[in-house]
Amino acid sequence: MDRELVERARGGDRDAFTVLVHQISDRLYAIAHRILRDGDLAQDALQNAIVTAWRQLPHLRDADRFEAWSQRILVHACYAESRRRGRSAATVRLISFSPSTPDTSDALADRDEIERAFRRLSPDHRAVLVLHHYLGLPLVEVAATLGIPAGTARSRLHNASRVLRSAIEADSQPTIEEVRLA
Amino acid sequence: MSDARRLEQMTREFLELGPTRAPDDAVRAALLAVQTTPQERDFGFRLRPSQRWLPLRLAMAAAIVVVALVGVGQLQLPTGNVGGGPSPSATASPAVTPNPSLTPSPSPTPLDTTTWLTFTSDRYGVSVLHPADWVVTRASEFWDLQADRNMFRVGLVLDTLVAPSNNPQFHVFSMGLPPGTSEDAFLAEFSKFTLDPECIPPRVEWAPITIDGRPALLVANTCSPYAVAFAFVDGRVYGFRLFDLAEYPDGLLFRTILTTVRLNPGDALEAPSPAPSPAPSASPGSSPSPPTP
Repeated sequence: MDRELVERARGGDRDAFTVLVHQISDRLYAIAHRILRDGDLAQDALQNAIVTAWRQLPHLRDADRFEAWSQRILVHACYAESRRRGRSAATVRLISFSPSTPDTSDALADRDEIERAFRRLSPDHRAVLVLHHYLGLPLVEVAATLGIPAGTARSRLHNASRVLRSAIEADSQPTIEEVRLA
Repeated sequence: MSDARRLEQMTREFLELGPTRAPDDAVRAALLAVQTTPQERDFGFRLRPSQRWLPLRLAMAAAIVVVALVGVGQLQLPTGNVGGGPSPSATASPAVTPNPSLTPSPSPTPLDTTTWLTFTSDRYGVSVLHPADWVVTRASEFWDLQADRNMFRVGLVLDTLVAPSNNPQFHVFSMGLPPGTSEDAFLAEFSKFTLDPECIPPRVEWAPITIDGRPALLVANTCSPYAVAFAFVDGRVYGFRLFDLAEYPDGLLFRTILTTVRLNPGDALEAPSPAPSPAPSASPGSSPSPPTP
């Protein structure tokens, strides 16, 4: 990230901010989409995050932290979007994927399984999984991005993984009806 | 699935799927909202919402003092007959009293438009000239007051003409006025529900001008560096907005562009459904819905 651009934007230069937004918007949207599991919600979160980042940019102390700082704003925008729509877990749409390469039925089944399980997670569990497993951030960076202590980030990641595993295992159990039929 | 490593691997592969590119419209709308959004300056303490305009007001007061001291007449936005055509009644409304700070001043030489290109808005029935290197983005939806106050929709309802550096920008928008809606009622609603209502001077301070020979009104935002002009023709309202005035603080660019506007209300497309509109007898206290934050 160009430190000079950040400094100029912090000083009120909208053109500089526009350049910065074009540099980070794809990644921000990808994060929002993976947390919210919905394109419309992700767009709203992205837009809110961009405007909030512009408004609050003078408060950013370290220009080198601009991208992480904007990701934190985005994650909070995702939380707000989830609360506002009140459907963070229950009514979000399934995302349809079009794999570019042939996929095995096992892989598809795994993907469906994890999609269903992921939708059951709370937004903060999804956020920690996305930051750690999608962005590849180490836990210290995850904690810094979310504005929480490192220990909290660690336990949140552990809990998210546990809930995800439980949800997958619950999905894979036969239903009572299936047991009866057998 | 009990294998922790396999779960981690599955999670990674799952998260790799999905979009990796932000929709252009969404980014464009957000950046447009940024154009009218002031930054929160760090004063060492957090301002309460009611105090957030204080620094701007102080800055404006200081600016007024400076302007008064040095008597810089050219900081005034030019007004008067910018359209070059006849001005049937000089004002759009007999109630209008020109703002002293917006009264006509000796106009600087208009910009050379001989190399400019014509943009014709099929949606809104208007044409205008613009510098040849500007980028035009047509509106994909119809403009109305609801859309204009929604910072995330407004970018979709404007014909936008933008300089290569993204600044300045010229916006074109229009809508049919619902039957019975007066020009004053429309302008009152616009002022009340725009994104930054505190920054639009009272209606009586808007300056009368003409556009394409029609009476029109012009006002400069007091917080952000933009101005907006409205013309009313055959039951339609036409709006024109220019960000940012910084490059031409005397309003020369805006004035020059406005002289090239041609209004063709007969060519405008009609919005498919009745547009949300101000009440016919709207008054300053009439039933507002909360503006979009």
